[in-house]
Amino acid sequence: MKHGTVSLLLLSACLVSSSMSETVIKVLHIQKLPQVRAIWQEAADQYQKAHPGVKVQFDYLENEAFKAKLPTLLQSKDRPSVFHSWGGGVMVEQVSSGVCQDITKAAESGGFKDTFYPAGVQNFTVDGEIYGLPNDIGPIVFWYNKELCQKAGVDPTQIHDWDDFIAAVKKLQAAGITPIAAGGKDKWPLHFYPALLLMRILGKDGLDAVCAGKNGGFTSPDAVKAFQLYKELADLQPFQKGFLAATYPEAAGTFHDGKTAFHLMGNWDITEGRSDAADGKGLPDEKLGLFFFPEVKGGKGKWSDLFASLDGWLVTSDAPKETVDFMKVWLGKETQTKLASAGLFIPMVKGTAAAIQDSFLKQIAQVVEKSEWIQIAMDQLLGPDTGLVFNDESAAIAAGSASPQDATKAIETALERNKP
Amino acid sequence: MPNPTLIEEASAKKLPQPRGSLSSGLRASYRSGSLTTLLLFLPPALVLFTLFVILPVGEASYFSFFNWNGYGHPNKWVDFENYLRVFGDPIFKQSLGNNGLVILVSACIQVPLALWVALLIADRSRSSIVFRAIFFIPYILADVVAGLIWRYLYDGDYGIVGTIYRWFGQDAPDVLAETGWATAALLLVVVWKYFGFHMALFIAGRQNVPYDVIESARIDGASRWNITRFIVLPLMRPVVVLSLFFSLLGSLQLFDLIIALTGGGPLNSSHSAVSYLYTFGIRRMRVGFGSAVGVVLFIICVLVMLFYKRIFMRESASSK
Repeated sequence: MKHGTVSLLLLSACLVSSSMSETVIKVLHIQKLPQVRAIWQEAADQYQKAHPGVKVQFDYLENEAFKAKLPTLLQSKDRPSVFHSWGGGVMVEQVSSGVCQDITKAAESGGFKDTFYPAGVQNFTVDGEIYGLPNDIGPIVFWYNKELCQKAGVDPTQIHDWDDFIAAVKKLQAAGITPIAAGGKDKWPLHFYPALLLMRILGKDGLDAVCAGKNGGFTSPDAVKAFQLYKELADLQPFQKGFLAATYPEAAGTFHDGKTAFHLMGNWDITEGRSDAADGKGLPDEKLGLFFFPEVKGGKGKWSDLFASLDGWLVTSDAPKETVDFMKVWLGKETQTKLASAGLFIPMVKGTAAAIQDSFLKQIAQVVEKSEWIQIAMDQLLGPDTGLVFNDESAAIAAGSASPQDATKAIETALERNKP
Repeated sequence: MPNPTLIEEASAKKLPQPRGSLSSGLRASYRSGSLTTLLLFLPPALVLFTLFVILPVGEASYFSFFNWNGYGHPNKWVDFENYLRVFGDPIFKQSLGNNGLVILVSACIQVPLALWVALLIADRSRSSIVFRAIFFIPYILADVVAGLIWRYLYDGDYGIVGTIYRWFGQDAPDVLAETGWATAALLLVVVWKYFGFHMALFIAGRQNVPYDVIESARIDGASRWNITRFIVLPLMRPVVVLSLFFSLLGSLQLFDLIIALTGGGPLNSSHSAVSYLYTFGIRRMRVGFGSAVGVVLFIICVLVMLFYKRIFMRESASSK
């Protein structure tokens, strides 16, 4: 009898306590690095302590699995409160299907949105309404191997325009050095070339017009010219042997094993990329250098216009009202400064660049601070279908199986059929 | 549960099956117990089949008329545009061609080879059992594992192919990086992987050939070749037909191996119909287009299976 009362009391106590801590903020992320997760967890613990009854839960999905599962997940009852996003066309589709929440008011309160670089917030804004906030930026730059360049008599700091770059590639080849590593199987590492050439030739207004399909879109002469220049590079066969079957990690390994002179890649090449080298360490700081993608003579874009992977977080329609409040801690300057000083990535929060210790990241972050134009990756900007056609065609040109005219026509066709 | 004594009684009486009205037919089948059996055993299978086969097929054919990316509800009706795109896409044609190649290689190389090896090692000696195990191991491996293993073997820098070439002071070709070669490399792995399965089928088939027939032929002075040619092979015909049927089926389902080995590349030259569907329908969020590919694939499967059954399976059944 006594036992019965006790267990009844325990049961009711359990019921009460479980009904009290009902608010759960679920964050769906693709972050592999344990150091980053640890700092996030600190922020979550801090918030949970200050707000009893709110629980923050981080859920991890691997990159490809994330992309594949997200549409179903977002339309189910299990949808997260906050999820990783690259912005662009994919985000627009998510917003227009009503799974995202307009957080403009919450983000503007207390000037929270102004703590980020404007380009970052802009990336998660649709029709003037804010649906998410930026996390970090990974600008694409040319990494180079100092030893190999020296051997061939190439000074990468003197590469200012595309002709200089082509000359450097030829010089390296003459010295018997493979100029460039590229992960052609994944295709997106190759799409950086035509995309950056488009930026350098067309400038922001020009590229916006092309992506909107104006004046023939991708088939307009300037857009075709970008692919023409890319083809001229590809015709030199500058990539490592078998690059069409190499994935990004394999190509990063090739570069960090010291087998090629250049690697066009985001700043994750000095964290993730290095770990793909045969010794797991990659090129040491003193052997590594970076330069920004060269300008094109007569083009409207500048070297400091950045092409970047710009990651952030979108808030879903039924996320608890505490979500943005938590983001103020999680994406706030204090937490982001910790991440910056650990050299884990370049946060989108103003004033964090000073905390970055890593000399390469610092050099890039300083350009990010001043950059007038940050362009996101084509496969995100153009949406999944057109974006992947862009990648396909980039690989086809590198393989010599498509002409610039074929490629631009295929991209334009895909763009047309995906018009809303 | 139908009462067993009732069934016995009914069958003992050998009730004539009336061909009259529906109700009398039902009554008769109720009396014989088959209606009860039907009502008991049909629903689970029917419900499962409807839920997991008929409904998805119906849904896919509905989606295939829309331009839809998977978010919200499909609302952009495009008539047959998706189908026209499927048939107009050279990559789809090449993917189907690759399916055909797999069937061809399977029928011309894999199955005869498996049959030959099976006849050599169908006896129960110890060495035969060891060989059987060796040949069967690749089949046990998961497709993805096999794909990854071969990816390393084919690698021009680090793989065994590269090493062999370097012994002769040559630079190895990167087979997976060249169109044509990549497909050939894929075919080799398919033969290697499924060879053991066909061999196991043939060994079972060979062991089913009655020994007395062979013995009597031997007494009549038939040579080993004649026994194989005129007794063993004809008796094994149903197994060969079944084996070819599995190759067909396997080709139509080929997916994991491709994704792990080549990813359909280089330049989308080594896709099968299914990996094409995955790459261009699912990964690109073109649900409408992907559904159209799925429907086309479904129709191809149904046609192939019907014809194969008509032409080969029936013949082999009647020849028994």
